[in-house]
Amino acid sequence: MLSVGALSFAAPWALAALAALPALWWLMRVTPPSPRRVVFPPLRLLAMLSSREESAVRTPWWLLALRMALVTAVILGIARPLVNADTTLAGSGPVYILFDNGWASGEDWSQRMAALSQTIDRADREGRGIVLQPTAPAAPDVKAPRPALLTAARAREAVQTLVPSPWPTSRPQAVTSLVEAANEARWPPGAVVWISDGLAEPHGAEPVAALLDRLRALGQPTVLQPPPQRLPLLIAPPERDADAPKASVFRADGEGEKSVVLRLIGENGEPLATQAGRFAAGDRRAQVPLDLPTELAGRLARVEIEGARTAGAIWLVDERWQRRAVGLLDEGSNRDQPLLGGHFYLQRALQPYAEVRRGDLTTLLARPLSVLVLTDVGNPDSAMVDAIQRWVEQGGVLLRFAGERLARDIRVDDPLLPVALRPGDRTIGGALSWAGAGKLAAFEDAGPLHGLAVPPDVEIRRQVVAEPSLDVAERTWARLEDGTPLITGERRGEGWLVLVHTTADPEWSNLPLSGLFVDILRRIVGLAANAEGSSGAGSLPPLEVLDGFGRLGAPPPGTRALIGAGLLDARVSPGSPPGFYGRADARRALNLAPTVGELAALGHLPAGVGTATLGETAERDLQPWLLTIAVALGLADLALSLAMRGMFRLRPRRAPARACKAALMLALAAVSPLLPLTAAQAQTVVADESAAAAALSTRLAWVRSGDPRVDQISAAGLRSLGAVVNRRTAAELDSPVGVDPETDELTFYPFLYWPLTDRLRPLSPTAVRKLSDFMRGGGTIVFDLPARLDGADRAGLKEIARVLDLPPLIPVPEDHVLRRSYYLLSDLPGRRVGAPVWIERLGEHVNDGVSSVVAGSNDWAAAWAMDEDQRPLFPIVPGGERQREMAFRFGVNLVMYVLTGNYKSDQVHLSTILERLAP
Amino acid sequence: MSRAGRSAKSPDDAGAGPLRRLSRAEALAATFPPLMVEAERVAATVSQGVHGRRRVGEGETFWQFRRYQPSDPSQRIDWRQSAKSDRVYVRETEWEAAQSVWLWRDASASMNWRGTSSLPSKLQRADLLLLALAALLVRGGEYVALLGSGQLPASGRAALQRLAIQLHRDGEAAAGPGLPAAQPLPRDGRMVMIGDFLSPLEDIRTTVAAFARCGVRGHLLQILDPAEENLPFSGRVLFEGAENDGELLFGRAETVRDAYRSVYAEHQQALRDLARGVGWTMRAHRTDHAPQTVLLALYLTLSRLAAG
Repeated sequence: MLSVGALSFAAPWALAALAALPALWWLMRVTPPSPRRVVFPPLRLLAMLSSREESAVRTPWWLLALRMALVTAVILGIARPLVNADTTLAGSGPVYILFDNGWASGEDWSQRMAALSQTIDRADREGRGIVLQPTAPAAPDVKAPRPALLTAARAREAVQTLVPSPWPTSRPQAVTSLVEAANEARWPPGAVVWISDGLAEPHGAEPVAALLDRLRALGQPTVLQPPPQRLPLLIAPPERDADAPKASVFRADGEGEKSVVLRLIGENGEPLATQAGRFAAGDRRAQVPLDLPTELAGRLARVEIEGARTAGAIWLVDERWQRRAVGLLDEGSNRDQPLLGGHFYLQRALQPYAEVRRGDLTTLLARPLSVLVLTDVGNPDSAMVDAIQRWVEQGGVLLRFAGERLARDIRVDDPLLPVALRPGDRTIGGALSWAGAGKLAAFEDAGPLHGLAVPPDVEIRRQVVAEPSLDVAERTWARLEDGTPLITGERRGEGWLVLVHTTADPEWSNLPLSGLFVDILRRIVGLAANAEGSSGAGSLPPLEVLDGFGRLGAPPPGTRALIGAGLLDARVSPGSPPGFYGRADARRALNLAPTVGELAALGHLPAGVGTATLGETAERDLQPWLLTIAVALGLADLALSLAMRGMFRLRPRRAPARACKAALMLALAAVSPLLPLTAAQAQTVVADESAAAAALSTRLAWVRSGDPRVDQISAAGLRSLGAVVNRRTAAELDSPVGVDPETDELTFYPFLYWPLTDRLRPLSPTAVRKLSDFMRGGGTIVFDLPARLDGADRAGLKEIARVLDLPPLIPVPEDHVLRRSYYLLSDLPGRRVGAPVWIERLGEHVNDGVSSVVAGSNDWAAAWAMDEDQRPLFPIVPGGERQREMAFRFGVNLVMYVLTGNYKSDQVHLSTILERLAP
Repeated sequence: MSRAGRSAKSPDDAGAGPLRRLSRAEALAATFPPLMVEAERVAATVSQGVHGRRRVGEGETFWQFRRYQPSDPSQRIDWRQSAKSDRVYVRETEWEAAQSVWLWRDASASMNWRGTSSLPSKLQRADLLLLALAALLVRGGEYVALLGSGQLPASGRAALQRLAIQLHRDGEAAAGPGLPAAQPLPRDGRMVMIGDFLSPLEDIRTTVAAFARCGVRGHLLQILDPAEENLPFSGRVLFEGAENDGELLFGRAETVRDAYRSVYAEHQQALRDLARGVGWTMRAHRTDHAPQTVLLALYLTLSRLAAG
């Protein structure tokens, strides 16, 4: 690698091509540019010129300079210049790489890997072997490979398999194994590169300086550390404060202030809250309060430092920090009668902030329990007493309430009472007393209840009385106004025995009814920690463990269970990484912080050790820039050449098609990423033959009834009616069309002839919608009913009328335009005569006066029906052909009425018009 | 101006269609009152298109008295003149026949070219001049025909329109030859050849001589583009011929400019000498000059040709 000051070239052989530049320059200068092509008719005259000067014009100097710059940029780009390239590695032997992959390395893992790859690349460039030694102990099921001298390719493969481990590093062992392997294999000293995580060894371990001394035997050490602001943070457990647990966050160096944000995550991964904390300058520990409302506090699953990706930045929360569990001992009696039973009030009071459990003693004590509440238990049996005593000594709080049975069965040496009690109870403020019921005095300063406000309306009517003795006073937490203790508590081992001298239900006092009850209970529950039950021992198999990046996952094979004695002070090790152990309903969290303790930065390194900061590659590669510049210059050169050849004239006289296309291609290639290529949207054409046929000429339509005979009559009738209309009037009708309102489009037809047969099909909603739209759009439906309607038919008709929302119908009036629209008719016969014809009652201006319904039962289609020879299909019995003619006239009237609207209705008002015209 | 001979567009011929061009040509001819006055005057002297042919023949003008030959019909004896002397004379009239003008323009690919886009192509200018001339001639009562169309000279508005349509059809067809095919023409006809005359001089000489031998009096009008005359190119230029006749590469075009101009002037001079040699006239017209002057000059030349 060639170095010139800050600039160095990775492939200096390419610079030899620069020697060819003068030759290139001369060549370009000598070569004339491409000629302009011009069409010239008097070419023959030009050919007659005797002397033609052949000295061509030269390439202009700026084009020459452009091309030279292009070639220079390409050559320099190939030579791969680097600005501020890293210095070479010292020594000439193999490169020994000590790689920290403990829990703290998950922070900047990608940069570490990049640094490792760069070191391997540099070693490869210098042709040196590589020895890779990770410092964290291997996972229990993975055999730690012995350090070996690797080629660059094998080293890169080995690098691929490295992952950060969630346990701390063990550098002394790593250094020892490396030095021993080097001595054994007699590798020459070379260079030592230590990619560290920035943390010093914990107290009591071999200090870093000693490690570096040992490494010096292998070569000049260089330490790569992360920058100070990227040193890892460690979160330590919240202290068990009842009201405001505080988490501690540790950092490695105390420089300056730093703010840290903690995220409190719930059970399903949902974020519950964030808390911000601050490191003071010079402080390596920050306390961050974990303020969670009580409803959310029970859902807390872990606390993590925002932005950190190590296993040490996550604190897993198990039941010990969750809601305290309060057990209400069930004695089988009816304690939870609403408003009467003591358990009811206790449950109500405890529920918001504690987990309330019910059951018998063994069930309750099987799981970790904070508080055990005994309401009016008189004489517990000895097994129970022993179990409770053990549990209390381990940190449980026993809360007893007085009651009838306790008052009756008081034993002097009850081990589960904080004070000795006098047998019997005391009634305060009864019928025969002067004073009223007892009121509470202010709470004692010394007890856990101090500071609670005493509401004035709490009164105690009955209580059990403590035997006066010397230690009653110090065990009293609450008194009545006359000094009698109401709540007493005694510390027993790790736990407490608390006695409330009155009942938990409102029998003896109204304390359970007051808000003070809730506060008192809360304080008492806050005393407790979730103590282990007696049957909590045994081994805890791993449930979920953290990996090096702080992600919870399945435990890798080889993870051991936590056993018995290791439960309380378990340490994180390769066999037991941090995570959850135990059963799914009784999880125990193993966290990293107790294992690591406080953090310390590497600090000053001894002299002779090179340092570098991780992640800052001062090296800058200029190759991409140079090649980009070369491409841009190339495009400019192309454009200029085309312009000089005259391709870019505004109106090219005779630009060959090729050149035009070339220019166009160039322009298109330049802007093609910007052109959105959308497929041409073909218009959706409704290729419906029938629609085209229906729309192009006026047609009458008849509704298919499903009975082929009726359909045939309808078709024939409308066809002959159409022929008659064509012959006699100016209307031009095409052949009639049979439609099905379920499927066909009805809007093309002016009227719809609907022969209602005996069998009426129910209409689907589509058909109903189509028919309603048809009528609303101005179409007319002509209903032709059968002669006789029985009940079912009538019901069917009613149904149709309801479904189609037919308007009220009236018989056709005498002066209605239907009788006058073409012919003057007095009755409207079909094959039958006499039945009334019904139309809609309309104003003149609604739908142009055309009724949307015409209904009758004169069987018009049969009267109109003719076959191909123009012979009528059905005889008309009473009236004969005259009636048929009248039926045709009615048909013509109907068609004209439907097609023309109220055009003829003026006839009705003729007299009015004449009156108005005449002054 | 492609090799297929498609006509290029120019400012004064924005529309297609022969009749459109005809109307434009007529508009050109009609907007010059002096020209029209001149046309009228010339037409008047020419007396309705009937020109005396200075020989004995059918006509109205007296030509000569001739002694009576026994082969003459006796009705032709002019008794008044015979009474004045003792010989018998026959009156003879001058042969007056309508004069025909044959027009031709060069439709080859080299005509369909223009030097700059602001000027019309030579073909457009040639068409314009031809049609305007034909309009003037027809107004003056002459008989015009397009050479090579196979039609007899005719007069009147119909003839003009036919001429225009023929021109258009010729323009639509493939490029024609650079010189008209020789065809026998009646004596004393007149002829106008409009083109750029860039063909070899020998070919032009042959064609002109062939027509002159028929007795036709002609006029050559050379249309040239100012770029052809001046060679305004510089730098490295590859010249291509318009009719697929090769390419020439010049390293520095500006150095040959003077030499080229002199060659071009020689060519023009040779054309003039050629025309004068057979008794014809020749005129050159640049497309950047106005067509009106050359039209007037052409018309007057034709009438002079007719008169003398």
